[in-house]
Amino acid sequence: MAITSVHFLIFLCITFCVFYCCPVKYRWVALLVSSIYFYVMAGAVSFLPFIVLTSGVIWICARIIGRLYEEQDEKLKGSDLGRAEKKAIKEQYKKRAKRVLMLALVCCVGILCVTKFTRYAVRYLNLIAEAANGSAPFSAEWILVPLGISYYTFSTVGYILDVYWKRYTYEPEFLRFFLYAIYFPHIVQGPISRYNLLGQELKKELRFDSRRIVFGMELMLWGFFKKLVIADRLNIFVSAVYNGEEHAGSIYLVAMLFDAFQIYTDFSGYTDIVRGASQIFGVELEQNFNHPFFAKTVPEYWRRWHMTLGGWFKDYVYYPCTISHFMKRINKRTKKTLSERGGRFVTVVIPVFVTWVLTGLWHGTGKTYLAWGIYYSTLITISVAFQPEFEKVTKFLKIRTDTFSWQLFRMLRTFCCFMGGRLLTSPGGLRRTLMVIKNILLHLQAWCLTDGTLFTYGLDWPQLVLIAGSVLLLWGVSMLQERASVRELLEEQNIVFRWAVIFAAIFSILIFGIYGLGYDAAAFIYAQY
Amino acid sequence: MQVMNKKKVLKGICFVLIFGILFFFFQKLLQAKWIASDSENSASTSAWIEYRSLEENSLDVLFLGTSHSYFGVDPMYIYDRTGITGYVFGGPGLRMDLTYMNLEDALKTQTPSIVFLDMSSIQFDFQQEEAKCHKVLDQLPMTSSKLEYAFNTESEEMKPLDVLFPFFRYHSRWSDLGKNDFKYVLNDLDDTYIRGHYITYQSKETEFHFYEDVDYVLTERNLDYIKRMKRLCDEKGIQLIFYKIPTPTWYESQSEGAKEIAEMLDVPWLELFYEVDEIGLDVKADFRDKNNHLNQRGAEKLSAYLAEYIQEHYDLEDQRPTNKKWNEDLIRYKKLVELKIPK
Repeated sequence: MAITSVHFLIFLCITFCVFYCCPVKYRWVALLVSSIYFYVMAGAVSFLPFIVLTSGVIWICARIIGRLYEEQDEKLKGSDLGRAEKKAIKEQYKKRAKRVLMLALVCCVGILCVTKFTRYAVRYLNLIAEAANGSAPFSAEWILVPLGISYYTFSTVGYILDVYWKRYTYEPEFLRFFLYAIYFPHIVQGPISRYNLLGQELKKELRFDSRRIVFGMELMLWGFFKKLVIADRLNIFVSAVYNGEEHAGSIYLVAMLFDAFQIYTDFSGYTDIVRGASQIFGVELEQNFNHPFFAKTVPEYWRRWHMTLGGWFKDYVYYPCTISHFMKRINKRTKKTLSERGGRFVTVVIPVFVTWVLTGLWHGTGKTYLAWGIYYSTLITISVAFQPEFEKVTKFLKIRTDTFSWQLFRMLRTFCCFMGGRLLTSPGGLRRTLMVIKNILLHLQAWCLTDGTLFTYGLDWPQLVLIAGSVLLLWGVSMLQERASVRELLEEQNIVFRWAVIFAAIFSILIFGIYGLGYDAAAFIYAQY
Repeated sequence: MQVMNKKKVLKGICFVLIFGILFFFFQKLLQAKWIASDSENSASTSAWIEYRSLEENSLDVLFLGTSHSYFGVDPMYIYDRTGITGYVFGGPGLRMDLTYMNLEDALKTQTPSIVFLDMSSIQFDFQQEEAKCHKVLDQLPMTSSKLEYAFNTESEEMKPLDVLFPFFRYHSRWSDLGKNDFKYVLNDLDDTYIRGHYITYQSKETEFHFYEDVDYVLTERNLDYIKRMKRLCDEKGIQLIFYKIPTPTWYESQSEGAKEIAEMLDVPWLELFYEVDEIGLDVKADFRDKNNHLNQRGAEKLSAYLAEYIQEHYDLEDQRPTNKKWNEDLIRYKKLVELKIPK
């Protein structure tokens, strides 16, 4: 059951009716049942044990950890123990909690790694075996990759780490926790929700609020527009270019540009659909995008793009890595042997590389994603570590940094960096990436943009005009969103204008959307992660 | 509070209504159209427009069937000779279920005395190409038969939603819209006066004999829809006649099968396959293509034969002295035929 299918809309309508017919107290149960149904329909029944196992293990372990802390507090409370004794008790409980935490992490991250990396490992083992014996004895066909495993594993792992770090207390009811893990709007492609936010949202009284429901539907419409009208239309061109033979460099440049907009409209479109769907039920999901193409630096870009993933890595990988004993030792040593700045540099580089290589591997296995991780680590390290030098150069060149042109330049520079990152993964292998770069540099053939070649990749000129118009609209709406809530602005307008906008949105999707026979509606790109 | 709720309900109803109006407007604009002026084959859209423009209950005879019908039967020619008003509804490779749906809708505005059903359709019990089905389906209103068809379709391509609302199938035509699409929405298409027939003087020599025989079995679905047609005709007091337009794409066993059904349902059966000589068909000049459709020369001969048959067996009034509309159309029609004759 794809999010853009009629089946999903029917499912949503039925869930809506059942949900609001249930007494407020039991509405979460309706969400739980419909989420399980959605998970089975969107994936398979065989995926269900994996999510039950992961959430079961995490819930039990978090509960044990929580109980251990309660026991510890009980022991410390009111007793007239000395500081040393108190410290010893704390250490003892911390150790026990850590053991439970490690067990949970090994189990859940283990499942994630086995499902995600086995195929890749088997491919290499087979290559080695083939070189030695001439046959490939291993098969990884039996490996299942459960739907949304990266998303629910990260959500649940974040929860147990927070319990371990005492950011909040454990959830006493398993079914409530399971709903948090399997909640249908976020299970396939995120956002990677935090338990203290989504868990609490799901616990509050979910009452009927027509204004919020209308807002949710409007957000869904905007998401459908981005996905069906823009992303899937761009996908026709991008797939034709990247899946085909060699093309002129100018065509690759257009494909790179289209690819950047495609992935943005695809993923942010998905997020808008699911956030809107969730709002209909009164549950607010976290924001995942904040107009990343307006970012002026790469680190800022990643604070605006897939924000929940970036936030997760920052809180659970980057910060723990930065403040770890290991890093403190390295910092001390490098400060002594190098310089103050050298020490700082090393303490920036290592956590950044660890975080970004892991982020790359989260997106996919293989050399391309490793290269992708290294690419962003390098960019971020350069932008952070050499900031004083960049400032000096700017001063030396007497560039006025408070002008629109400078800000625009920075945005375009960041956008180009993003396109560079996409170039590592989109063409389908590093060899093809090199081929694309070679063609851009050596065989640009700019005339392909004007002699009609451009129209031979599945999009004729009316389609390209439509894309240009849609991207302009996207830009306009994004500018508005930077200043205020578009839905609130719309709400203030007269009914004729309001409805005209809504009907225009509905019929734009229905008419210009890429769906139905003749089109293979592209799967959401981020669903594969 | 109650006033607020009433207001919200009223708003909701208005919203749905406006949505419906816009939806059907765009559906009409975007759906594929088979218009006479730009069609190289059957112009089903024009055929239905012309049919609906006819005066109610003004038809004497209705001819139903496959492409053989609209190539082989020329109602205007029959009218010219006998004053009997007729109309032909055919579709390429039309299955019995779609033929039934054609009849069901056609009888909403007309109650002809006779319905001729070309039994070529008993050959087909497989899903036809999607476009061929849409040619018929898109012209028909939402009926229980259409719903039944939509939800029973075996085609991978045809989804129920596409059958019921061609909007979803044809939404991507927005970049191909032409003058006729807008004219169709405004009900401003040039009127046709060919009564569902297709005029062509293309010619191809053919061999006239049965195909090498096969074991033919009448399928339950075909039988069911033939029975439904019989029931419908009986209810309206219409004489149903089974006939087979003479084409060599026909098997002896199928001919026998058709005869059996006719006997079972007590319907007259005209097997014209054996009457080629009597009709006067020339295998060298009267056929159009390798599928053995008749051309205009053949159609005129067959229509003359059918006209004679009708006159011989049924007492239908000669409308030529009084039917102004048909007489005017006949003049225009003759000019059109004249234009099509190869010089």
